[in-house]
Amino acid sequence: MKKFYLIGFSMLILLFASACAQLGTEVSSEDIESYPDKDVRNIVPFSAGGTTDVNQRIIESYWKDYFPENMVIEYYEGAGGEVGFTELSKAKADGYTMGSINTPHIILQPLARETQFEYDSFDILARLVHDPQVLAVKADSDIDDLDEFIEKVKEKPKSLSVGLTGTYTGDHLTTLKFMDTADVQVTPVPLAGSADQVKELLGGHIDAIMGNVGDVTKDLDQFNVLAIATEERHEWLPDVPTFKEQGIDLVAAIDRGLALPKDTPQEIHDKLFEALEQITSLPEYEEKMEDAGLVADFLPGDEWAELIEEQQKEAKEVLEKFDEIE
Amino acid sequence: MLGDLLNGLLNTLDISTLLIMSLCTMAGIVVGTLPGLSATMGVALLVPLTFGMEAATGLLALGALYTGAMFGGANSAILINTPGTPAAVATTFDGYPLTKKGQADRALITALLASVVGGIVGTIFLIFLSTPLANFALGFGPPENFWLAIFGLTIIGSLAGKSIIKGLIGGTFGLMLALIGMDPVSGYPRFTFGFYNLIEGINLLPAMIGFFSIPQVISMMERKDKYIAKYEERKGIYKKTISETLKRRMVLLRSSIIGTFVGMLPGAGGNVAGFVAYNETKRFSKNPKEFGKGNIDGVITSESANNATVSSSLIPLLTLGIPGSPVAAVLLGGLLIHGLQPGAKLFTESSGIAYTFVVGLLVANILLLLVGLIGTRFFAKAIAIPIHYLAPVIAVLAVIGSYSIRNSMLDVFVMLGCGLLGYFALKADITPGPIVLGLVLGVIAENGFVLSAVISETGPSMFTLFFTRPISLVLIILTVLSILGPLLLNLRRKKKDNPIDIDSTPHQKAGGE
Repeated sequence: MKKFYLIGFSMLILLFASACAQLGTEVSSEDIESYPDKDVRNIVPFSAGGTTDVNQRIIESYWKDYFPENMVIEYYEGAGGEVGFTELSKAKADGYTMGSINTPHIILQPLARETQFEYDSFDILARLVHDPQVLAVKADSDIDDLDEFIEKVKEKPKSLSVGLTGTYTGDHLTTLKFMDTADVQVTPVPLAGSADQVKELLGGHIDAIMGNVGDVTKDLDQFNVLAIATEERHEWLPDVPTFKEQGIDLVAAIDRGLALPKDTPQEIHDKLFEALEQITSLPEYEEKMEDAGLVADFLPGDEWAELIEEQQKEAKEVLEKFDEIE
Repeated sequence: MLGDLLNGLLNTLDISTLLIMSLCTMAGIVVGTLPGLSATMGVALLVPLTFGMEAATGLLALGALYTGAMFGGANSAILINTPGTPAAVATTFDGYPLTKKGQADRALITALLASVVGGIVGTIFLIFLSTPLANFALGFGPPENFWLAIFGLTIIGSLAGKSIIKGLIGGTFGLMLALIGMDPVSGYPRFTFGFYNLIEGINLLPAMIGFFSIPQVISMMERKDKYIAKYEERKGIYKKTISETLKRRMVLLRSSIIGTFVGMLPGAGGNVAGFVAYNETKRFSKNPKEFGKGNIDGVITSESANNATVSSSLIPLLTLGIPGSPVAAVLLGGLLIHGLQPGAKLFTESSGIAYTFVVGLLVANILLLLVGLIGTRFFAKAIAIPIHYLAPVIAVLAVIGSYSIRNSMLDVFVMLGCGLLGYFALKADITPGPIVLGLVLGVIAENGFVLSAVISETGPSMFTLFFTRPISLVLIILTVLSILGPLLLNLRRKKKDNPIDIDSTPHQKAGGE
């Protein structure tokens, strides 16, 4: 008798489990209609309190004006965002998981090592931040401008060290591109993060950093920004000349935005996109972003995806040129 | 400046602010006590709640929680031999033996007082000397960090307990664990065995929880005792302990200052400070043999050092805008959201909020004293819980804590793996202290060494980088002294019957009772 109960019980559990699995496979039109009827999780692939987190927290503060359910921020940090990107790419494509992606991170990581996602494993909602790269030295450095920097390093190759936030990151790629276009050889120093870049630079342990506008505008008095990798001068740094002005064809930035797992229903994508478009055009949003040192620059997902496609090809070429990948 | 400070004090003494701070101190103690919920996580969880508050109040809430959590780590370290936060590892060395002797209350009260003193000393340095200290901290580049880690490894000598060799085996094992993960320069994953999360390396928190709490749980089950230790509330213990602790002036002061200096070094700081202070206190002590067996000085030194790091880890953040510790990085987010740009301009452009925050840290320590004094009565009662309830609770907390660090099942397996290894290691008399120390310092040492090697490509030779910089030289001398010191001291002691005595002699006995 006991055995009978046991078997019966196991069968019930199996039934229940398979029912759950059934529910999981398809997103029905009713689900789309009623979306969202539960909390939407937002994966932040970097640490709490970091810039990506701050960005998402600002969006979260307006989220409730557009949706009845909460946005729940979850942190999956590690390996330059790879842990979080993987989590996002593998999540169920039902609209209840979205997350931040960054370029060129999502492009470089699959190029550099075996990852469980590819640069096109995401259904991209929108770009939120476009933070151009800058080459900066310490304010009291004996290098005054880009010409001097290039002259010095041409005289003695590798004699200047440039701090980066790790290997196979945007800073790394931009530095390689810089070495390529300016035909110089610097010594790239991969550090743990942007805080370490600033620390080592101010401490005089490295000569320059390849950073972002957001890093140096926190306290401009500490830095002498030699050049910015944009087409035209940036409104936050009007006195800083572009690389292009100085004869070096270098345009690069770190972009951040939101994405869904691939194959999320288009209707849900559209709902989220509309809300994002409205939130990001609020004047208070822009103000808060600027206060937090985030260079807001909204771009719809499909346009960003095209840019990413181009960037991927370019990055591959550069890395192959420097023998960084096979 | 004095005016600003007074103004800040008045802002802090607002009744609603004080109320929020007290609540956050209590929450901090709870977060700190539970292994797995670290100070960093507590502060990160609180940050979104502060968005609705005024900037100064929000920051004070965060500061109070951080202070409380740093003390809270001592509770579990003392009562169940599991540090609640990584900074409290050194508290277990003497705290738990005291509990076993039935003196849990004495250890807890001492830890509380030492925490408060450490916190206040650290904050005083933050208020008056932050700029010169920040510039000093900047002097620590890759070569200095390498030497700091090497100096730190000599501490294994004082942690090893019965056998130096076994301490070294533990330390080496920790260093080997530190090798797992992505190579910091080439970006190549090492020893990850295909687990992609492992490229980030072995996370300190689950490893620490594993090494300390799992062996503890297993050994609780092995023994047939009903309770961890005997405990009876003793009359007059508060008064006695308070006066006893306050008389250990030199230990308190020295440990607080060590905590301040080590804690402010970006990257190296917080987790190492307690170890360094413990090492120095043992070195200067008259009864170094009693350390590890329940010497109250061991609790005083570890706790005053780790609470001194609360304020000092904020020095690089507030003066230069560089978040030097994980908690400081979270606080940076809190500052940014309120539109405050940390850095040199913080104290000039938003001086009201900045001074309120630093003065508030002093007030937070006083609140910690009050909340803690009431609390220790209840904390000590935790050992009155029979083991058959306590052991499963600790096991469950260990799993939840490991998982919640970054929502990763892998961390739970890391915790369990380290726990099993730690259990068998303990059977062989290899204590978890040196293993955790090796894990912490291995990462710092490797980064320092590899980055120095990279920088040497720009011109200076490796020799110049490693052996000619002033701070490096000091650290090298300290390392050599730390290795030879015990030998020399012994020689001196034999020659003269009157060894160097920095602690006040009449109370020397108190440590060993």
